[in-house]
Amino acid sequence: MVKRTEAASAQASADLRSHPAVRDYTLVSLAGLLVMAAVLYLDGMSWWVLIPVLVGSGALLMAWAAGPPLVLACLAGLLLERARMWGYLFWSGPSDVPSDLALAGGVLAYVAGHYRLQGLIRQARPIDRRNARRRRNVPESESWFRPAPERRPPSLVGSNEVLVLLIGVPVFALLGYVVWARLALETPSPGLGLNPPEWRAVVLVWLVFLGLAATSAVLGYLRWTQASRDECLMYLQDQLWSATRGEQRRINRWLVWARLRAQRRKEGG
Amino acid sequence: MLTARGWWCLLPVFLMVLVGVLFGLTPLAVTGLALLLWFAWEWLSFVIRVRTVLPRLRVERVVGDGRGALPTLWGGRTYEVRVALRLHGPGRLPYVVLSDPVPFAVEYLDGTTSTQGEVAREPLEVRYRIRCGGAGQVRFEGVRVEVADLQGFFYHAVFVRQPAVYRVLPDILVRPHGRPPGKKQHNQLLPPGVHRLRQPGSGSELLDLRDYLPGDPPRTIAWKVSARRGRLITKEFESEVPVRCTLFLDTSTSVRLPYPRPGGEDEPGREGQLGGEQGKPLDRLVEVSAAVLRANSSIRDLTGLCVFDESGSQTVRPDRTGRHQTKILELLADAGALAPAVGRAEPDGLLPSAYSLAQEVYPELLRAEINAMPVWLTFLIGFPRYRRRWRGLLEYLHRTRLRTFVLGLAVPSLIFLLTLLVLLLRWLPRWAEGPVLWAALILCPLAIVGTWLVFLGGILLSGRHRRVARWRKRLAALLAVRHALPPGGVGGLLEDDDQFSLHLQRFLAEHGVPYAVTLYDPAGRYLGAAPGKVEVLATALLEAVGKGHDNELFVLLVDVLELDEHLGPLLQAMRVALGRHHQVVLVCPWPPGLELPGKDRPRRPLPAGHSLHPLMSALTRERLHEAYHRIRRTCMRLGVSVVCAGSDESVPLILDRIERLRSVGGRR
Repeated sequence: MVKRTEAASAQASADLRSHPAVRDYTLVSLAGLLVMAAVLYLDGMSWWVLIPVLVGSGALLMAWAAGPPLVLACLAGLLLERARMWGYLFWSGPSDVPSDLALAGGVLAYVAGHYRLQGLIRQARPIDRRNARRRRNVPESESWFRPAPERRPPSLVGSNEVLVLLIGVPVFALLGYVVWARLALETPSPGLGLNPPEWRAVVLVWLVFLGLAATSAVLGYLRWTQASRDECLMYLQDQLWSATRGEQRRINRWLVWARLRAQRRKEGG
Repeated sequence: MLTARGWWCLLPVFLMVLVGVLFGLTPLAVTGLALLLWFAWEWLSFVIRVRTVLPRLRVERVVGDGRGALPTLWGGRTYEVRVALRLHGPGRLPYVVLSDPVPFAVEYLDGTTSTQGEVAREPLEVRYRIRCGGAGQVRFEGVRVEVADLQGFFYHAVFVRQPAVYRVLPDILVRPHGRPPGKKQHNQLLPPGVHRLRQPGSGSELLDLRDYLPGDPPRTIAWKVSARRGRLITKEFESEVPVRCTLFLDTSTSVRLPYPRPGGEDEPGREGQLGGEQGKPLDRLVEVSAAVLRANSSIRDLTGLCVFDESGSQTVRPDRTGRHQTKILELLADAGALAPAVGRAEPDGLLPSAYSLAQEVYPELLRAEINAMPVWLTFLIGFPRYRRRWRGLLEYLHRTRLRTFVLGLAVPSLIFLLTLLVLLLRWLPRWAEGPVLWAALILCPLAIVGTWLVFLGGILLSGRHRRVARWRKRLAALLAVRHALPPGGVGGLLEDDDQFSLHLQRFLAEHGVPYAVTLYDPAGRYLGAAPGKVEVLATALLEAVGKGHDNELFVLLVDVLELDEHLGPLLQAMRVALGRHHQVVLVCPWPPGLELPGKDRPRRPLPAGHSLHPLMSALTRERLHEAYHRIRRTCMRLGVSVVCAGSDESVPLILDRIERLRSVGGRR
């Protein structure tokens, strides 16, 4: 029985791998890895480029969720090492726009393709640990929610989904380059005592922070405007409770104490 | 909203950008910025979709049996549930998982309760089949909608609430001949009454002979007797009338509590608590009521219903129209859906179920922005302050933590200061100054250190209590909004265990979630006895007698097995009913599986051995048999029959009994 289940599982996995949508995303990811390797190789990194390629393709093959962070770490390590060896660390070294754009596009294609592939092969949404615990304690026939599939079926992948991703890759690579070019123009005020890279990092962190804060404020406001009657009531009630919880506590304690004492006396008598 | 996968992607990307910017590595910075912008774009589009599209989702639910949608269901039958999630207006959600929770009141048979896909113009749909249980209500809450992006970076789950309540009418009407209840079976109308009444009428049975009076129809003249006596004698016939039957259905707490679990060594139950595995006495009473209704309607008798509990009653006068029957069936279904409400039940047992339900169905009302429980408050204040039962030192310390802390610091400090003052003013004898000073110097710091240790130890060991306190506050706020409590209701629910427990039970019952309640209070008193219902029943019976006609039958479906000492008003009312020549039958619910009581009561020896379960079962059996025979003896003295509604066979038995009673009543 166990062997039959394993065989069925292996068959299902093989069928999944051969689905056109899965194949498309695998090809996109592999192409991204190859572009990245080509750019790095042309930059003179020789056979070191095999490290991120092997890690990335291995993660693709094993459907390993940690693949993209590892590939990014390898890439950062390689570029840092090259800069250290060639001696242009801490200053903007020689830059080749097409190769930078190609590298960004390749990495983006790999990361996006890999994560979408994860959704098709492993899980598309986080696992609810409570459900797993409930399933252990409560028989399936008595549970309120029956288990829902965790993978996104490849049949749901639309005909233009991969195409939109491929169009987005050069667009975001270009946008990244534009932002970097604008950031490179930033120069620190003489009084601050910061060198240009440090100043750019500060500007970048502030940009991200302010962008997040502004977006959160807008979204929060939108949320309040869409709040239901019960949510508004709950908010008002919570404000009242926050302001008067000490008084409420004292009054209700006295009331409960008196009621319990009266009951005890009545039942005792 | 950001998943673990999202964090694991965002963190390296952000570090990568920082490293690229800080070290001036253009390829790294450009790649990182491209990834960061792509991530931000995905986030923004996801958030905008969630904010704008999710509020426009609607659930369309159809429960039917292949011939179309049905507003009312029948017990024991199979139905198909179709749920569609439709988007009203423009927009699109690329990846949605739809899950429909199956109500606890029905049995899931087959089909899919969850599906996934894209929501745009076409709706997402699930179909599954269910089988209804006994009479009651089935409540479909709505659907859970989970939204994620294609990469799995962002996730949002909401519950689209669209409650739909369907009445489940008693299945007793479905069983005969296996025909559905809606099908017309015959066209012949029965006569308006088939029961004999010993009053002059137009029946076929001879009642009496009397002298001929002018105006008597010639066909009623008894010619032979007239010839024999030499004067005209007229025959009088009995009346044939319908019986007006009124059912008194007990819906008090005692019949809403489920029967005890089988228990035993394999299946240990919680001490003093019951589960809902075998139904409840009310189910059987509803079944018997429906059977009597059907039997009456088949011979065109009139049936009325009085639903009562310890707080009041609701009466529907006897009638025989179709609309009237439907009304009675709906009342029976509503009665079958009632859940137990025990005033002194411990809320701690109900809290996890209620909080889980609230998390699923009302997640937006448990958000910290609108329903906050400050963390520091759980460290300092414990509630409720006063409880009925002692629950150990740790729980006591948790509830009185702030007071213990303040007193533990203030009292030693005060004593120390007083000691110093006394010493400075030289109010003590010289020989006592040294020991008092040393005692103050050692004992007061020790007491303060001890207080700190108890306080910190209490904080370390009270994780569960603090979690329960958090749940309780959030649920109290939710219940205060749901049940429209006045301002300050939250504080009341936090401090009052009884009120909180009642509201929790109401919350769970409203949503059709089964729950276990405590049967006995700390003093060992049974909480479900509801003796107040006897007075209500007696009043309702007297009212029915006052409005009754001749030949009325009152069927009391009530659990009075262990209420001997409270039966006085009911016995008085029964006497009045019998004195007006009505018939009364008392039907008592009986636990399924327990041996039915016979006419005589042979006392059986208790089982020997060390096992507790057989002993408990034997004791329960003996106790119920004893109670039944006491009630039977009391009622038989009045001339009231007592029947047990114990098993499936009991319904025809009760009908037969009622029929015999009618016959007897007709010949009096």
